[in-house]
Amino acid sequence: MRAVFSTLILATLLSASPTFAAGASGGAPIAVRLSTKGNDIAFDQTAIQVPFGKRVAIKFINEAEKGSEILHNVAILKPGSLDEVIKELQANSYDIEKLRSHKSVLAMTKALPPGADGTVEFSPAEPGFYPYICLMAGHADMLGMKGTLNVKK
Amino acid sequence: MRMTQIVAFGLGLLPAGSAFAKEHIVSQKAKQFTAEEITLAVGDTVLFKNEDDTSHNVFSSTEGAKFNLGIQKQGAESSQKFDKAGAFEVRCAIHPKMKLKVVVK
Repeated sequence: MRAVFSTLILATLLSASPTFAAGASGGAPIAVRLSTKGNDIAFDQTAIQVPFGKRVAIKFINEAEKGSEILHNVAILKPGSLDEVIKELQANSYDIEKLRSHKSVLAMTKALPPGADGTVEFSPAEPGFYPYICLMAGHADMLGMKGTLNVKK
Repeated sequence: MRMTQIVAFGLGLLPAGSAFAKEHIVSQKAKQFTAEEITLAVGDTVLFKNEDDTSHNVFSSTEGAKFNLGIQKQGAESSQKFDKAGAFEVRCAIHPKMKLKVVVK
């Protein structure tokens, strides 16, 4: 009886451990919805807060009118790297796909036409302020299309 | 006063190009600028005319000539002065393929 009880406790612990690990670094991601402010070259939110220890999934929707032809994307950057990424973007004449492999770009969508959406997922390595920007020509650097994801412990 | 100006001009003390600044016209048609490259003198202006059937947003993020004309609807026009020598890339924030090189000498 004692042996059976011990086995049951061990089984419970073993099954609980992966659940905890998944909750800490993976599992169901925190879902965040982000969009443009209609036809404006701006995000609808410039500050978002999520808890540390979870994967984050940001669904970004380009809500510009279909006839507007305005393309957008969203890129999540490492904390403190905003200026460096913008300089690189300008140096590459706003070729956004060249930024996909940049060491400070954690995740990014492709360029999305009006009405389209894309989802980016990433696991923040540490708490902090993660900039998110639109990489389309002039949107972040000249028109201020950027925000901050606060990953809080 | 007039003599002072003449002397100042002779000595090169007046702002370069100030009396002879030109206006250059660049239109936007079929989602393109009507020129790929233009050359100006310091102090010249460019009049950006939207002759397209869609809106545009002309800007430059090049150091020395940063500007943003904002959304220009059909028929709108805006003027931009170039005060520094250099080569500047002008683009549209709505149509990523639109590019204009402005060389200021």
